Amino acid sequence: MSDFELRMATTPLPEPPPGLRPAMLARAGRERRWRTVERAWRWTLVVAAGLLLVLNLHFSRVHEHEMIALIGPPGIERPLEAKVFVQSLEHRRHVLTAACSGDFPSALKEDLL
Amino acid sequence: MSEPDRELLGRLAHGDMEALGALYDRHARRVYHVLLARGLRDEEADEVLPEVFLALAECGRKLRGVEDALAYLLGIARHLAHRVRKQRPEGTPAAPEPESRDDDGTVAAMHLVRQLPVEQAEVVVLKVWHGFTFDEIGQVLAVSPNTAASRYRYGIEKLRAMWDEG
Repeated sequence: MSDFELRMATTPLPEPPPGLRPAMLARAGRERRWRTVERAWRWTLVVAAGLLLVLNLHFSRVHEHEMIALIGPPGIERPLEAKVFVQSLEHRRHVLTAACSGDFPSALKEDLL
Repeated sequence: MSEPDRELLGRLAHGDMEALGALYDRHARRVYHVLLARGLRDEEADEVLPEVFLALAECGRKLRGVEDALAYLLGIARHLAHRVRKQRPEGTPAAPEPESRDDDGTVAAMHLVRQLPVEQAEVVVLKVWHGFTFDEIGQVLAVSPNTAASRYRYGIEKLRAMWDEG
């Protein structure tokens, strides 16, 4: 170091005020406690939201089952009665054939409409 | 033997406020002088210094990966100092007028340092007043030792010129 640098080094610089340390530590403690409370609230909200979703899902299932019990299962879940279904198709084919050939009796026409 | 920074940071990551106090005792002067060297007025540095350490405490678990506490603190300090300078009203002087003349007739050193570009000022402060090597300065300021050395050389030349004038 040169003389100039040594001379500069012996010149005092301002020091941080002594009151800053305790004030800073007190504030850090307060903020830490506040962050802990905030984190607890945040997790409480997250758990509550999750619980709400699960309950919503559960009760929607319950409601669905109750509705099925009241009005019967949807068509796709009902067992197909093959004989009745084939008869219905045969009838419809007969009516359409009659309509195409011009032989369309009024009874069949009403039935079609 | 004093506890290494890394252990103090680990304790602080778990919310130990005594560790924050120990880090403050070890690094507050350096951080304070760098804040002043980066052009903050005394009252601004008094406000920003606690904020720097509070920001460190807020990092929580992220601190477990930090190797060098001073480098981390100076990173926060530089960021906050930049923000304070940007928020100053137009026309506010960056540095106050010379506060006093010491008994031996020298102008207050920090006033001269504040006249330097901030990159040079912080290197000069860490080297002259805190005895850091260029390697250490490079490490804490995230620059190469050669960059630190050249900033110091330019800074000290300007300082000498101002000293001779004043």
